[in-house]
Amino acid sequence: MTKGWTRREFIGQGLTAGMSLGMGAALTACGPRRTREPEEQMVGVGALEDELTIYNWSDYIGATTVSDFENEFGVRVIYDTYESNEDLLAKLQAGARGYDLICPTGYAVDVLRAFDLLAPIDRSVLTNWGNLSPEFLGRSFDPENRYTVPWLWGLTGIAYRADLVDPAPDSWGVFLDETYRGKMTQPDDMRDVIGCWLKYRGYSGNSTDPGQLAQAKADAIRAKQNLKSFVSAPVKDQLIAGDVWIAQLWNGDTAQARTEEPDVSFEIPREGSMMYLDSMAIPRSARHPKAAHAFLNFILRPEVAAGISDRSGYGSPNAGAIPLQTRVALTPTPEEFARLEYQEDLAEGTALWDRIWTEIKVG
Amino acid sequence: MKDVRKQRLLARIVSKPTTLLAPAGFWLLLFFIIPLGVMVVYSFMPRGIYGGVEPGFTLEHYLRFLDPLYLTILLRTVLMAAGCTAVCLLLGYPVAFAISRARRWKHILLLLVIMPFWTSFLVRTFAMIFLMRDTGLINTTLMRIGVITEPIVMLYTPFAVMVGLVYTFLPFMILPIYASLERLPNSILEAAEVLGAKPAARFRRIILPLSGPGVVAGSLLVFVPALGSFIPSDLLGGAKQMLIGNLVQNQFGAARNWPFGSAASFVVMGVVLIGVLVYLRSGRGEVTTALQDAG
Repeated sequence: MTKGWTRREFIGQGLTAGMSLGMGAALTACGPRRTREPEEQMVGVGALEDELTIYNWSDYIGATTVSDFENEFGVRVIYDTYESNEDLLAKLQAGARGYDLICPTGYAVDVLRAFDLLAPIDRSVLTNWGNLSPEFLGRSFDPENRYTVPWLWGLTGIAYRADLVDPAPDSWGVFLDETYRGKMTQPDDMRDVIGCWLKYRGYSGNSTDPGQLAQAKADAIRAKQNLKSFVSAPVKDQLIAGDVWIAQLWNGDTAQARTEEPDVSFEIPREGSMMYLDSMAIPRSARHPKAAHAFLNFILRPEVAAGISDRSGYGSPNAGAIPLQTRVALTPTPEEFARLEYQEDLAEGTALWDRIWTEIKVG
Repeated sequence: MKDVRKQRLLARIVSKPTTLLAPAGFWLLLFFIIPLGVMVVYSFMPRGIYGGVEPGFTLEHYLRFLDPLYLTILLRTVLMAAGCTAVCLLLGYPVAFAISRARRWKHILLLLVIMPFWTSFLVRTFAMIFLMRDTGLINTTLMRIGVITEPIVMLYTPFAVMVGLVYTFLPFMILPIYASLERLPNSILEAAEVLGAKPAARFRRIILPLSGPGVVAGSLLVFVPALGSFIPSDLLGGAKQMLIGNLVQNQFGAARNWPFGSAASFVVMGVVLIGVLVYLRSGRGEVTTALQDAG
C-alpha cells in the first residue's frame, strides 16, 4: 500500500501540478506566429464534403440563404453565431477547431493574419468573383484578397425619431447639446464612441495620438452627462418605443428598426463617420474547404447577395445585387461616402484607447 | 466467499474519504486549479498586442492598480456590493424570521423564495428593463391612474442597478438565515419570556446573536458574487459606470490585455479573502459572546 498524502502535501502537489500545466499552456499561447508564405490551396478537384460549419454574426444572413444552399448542393450546414469580433478572436486564438467559414471585420482579419490562422482562398473556383464591386476589394487588411471574400459593409451614423426631433441631427455635436438630455444613447463600444469624437474634431477615427485622444475624451465625458445610457443592440426597441429619440447606431440596425417604426430616420454626420467591411474567411483548421468554397461562390451570386443585404439591412459589396434588392439599404451618397473612414486595428494603440475608455466611464 | 470479500473491499474503498472526494477533487483540479494556475502565470507576463501574452516576467499589471483610476473603480465596486449586502440583510432577515416561525405555509414560502431560479438570470434582467423603462409597465400604469404625469426615470440609474443586484441575491441571504433560525429551539425563547425578557430584548439578546452564523454566511454569499457581477451594471445601469467586473471583462475583450484582466481578478480575490477573514473573525467573536450571554 502506498502512503496516503497529508493534506499539506496534497495541496502542495496539486498546486505544483496546476502551475506547471498552466505555465505550459501559457507558453504555447505566446505571441503571434510569423506569417508563412501562403501556399496555393487547390480545391477545384473532387466531390464536396457533406457538411459545412459556418460561424457568423447574429441576424446577418438572408432568410433562405442556408436552406437554399443545402438543397442545391446536398451539404448539411451547421450554423452558429457570435456577437463581437472579440468573441470570435478569443475562440480561434484559444485553438477552437471545426469552423469552415467565419465572418471577421477588417481589423479582426489583421489579427487573424498576424496569428496565421487563415487559409488562402482558391480564386479559380469562385466563378462569380466578378460581381464584386471594386470599391470593396483590396482593402488594407487583405490587399490582394488572398484570404477574404467581402460579405456586408456598414457604418455608424445618427438614428433619430423624425417625429420627435427637429431639425435633423447632422453633427456628432448633437450629443453635446442639452436639448435632448436623457433621450440619447451611444453604443457601449470604445471604437464607436471615441471614434465619433475624433471625427467631430476632424481627426482620424483610428488615431492613437495622445493629444487628439485627450480632446476626444473631454468631449465624450461632456456628452455622457446628456446620455441616457451606453447601449448597443437593445436600443432598437427603445427607439421604436420612443424611450430613446437619438442614438449613435449602425445603418443596418436602423434599417431593422425602421421596418417597425417608419419615423426612425438616419443621418450621416457632416464631420464624417467610421465604416467597416465584414468578410468571409476560411480558418486554417477548417475540415470542409471544398464545401466552404462552394458556399463562397454561392453567396457571390447577385440574387443570393441581395437576399442577405435585404434581410440584414446592411450594404452589399456585390454590384450585381443592388438592382435586385427589395429594401433599399441606407446607402450613403457619393459625397457622404467620401467622408467615411475604414475602422482599422489599433495594435499598440489599444492600451491607450482602453485607458481613455475607462476614464470616460469613471469620469 | 470470494464475492463477499470483493464486495467488502469495494465497500471499504468507496467509503474512504479520499475516494469520496476524488470525483469532485478531479473536477476542481481540472476546471478550477489549473485555469487559476494559468491566470497566475499570465498575470505576471507582458501583454501580447493581439491578445494573449508574450514571454517574460513583469509586475506592471499589479502595480497598475495603484493608479487612482483603478482604485476608484475598486472602491466603487466594494461600496456597491456592501450596499447590496446591507439592503439584502434588511429585507431578508424579517422574511427568514417569518418563514421559520410559519407553520402551514412554510414549504410554500420557501418554494416562493427559490422560484426566481427557475428562470434564467439574463431573462429576468431583461424583464426588469421592460418594467422600469420610461414607457415600461410601472410608468405607464402610474400615468394611467394619474399618480404621475411624467415618467419617473428608473432605468439606467444606480437605483436600477441596486434593484437588480438585490433581486438577484436576496434568496442567498434569506436561506442561510432561515436555516439558523429554524434550529432555534422555542424552549430558549420561552425560558427568556418566563425570566422576564421583553420581546425587544429577546430579539436583541437571543434571536439575533444565535442567528449570527446565518447572517455571516448569507452576507458572504451576497457580497462575494455582487463584487464580481457586471451584467446588472451593464444592462440596468446603462454601462455609464464601470465596475471591476466590467473592467475584467473588457480586458479579455476589446482591450486585449489578458494579463491585466488576470491581475485584476486576483486583486478582487485578495480583497474578498481579506474581507472574509476580517468578517469571520469578528463574526465568530460575536457568536461566542452571544452564546455565553445566552448561557
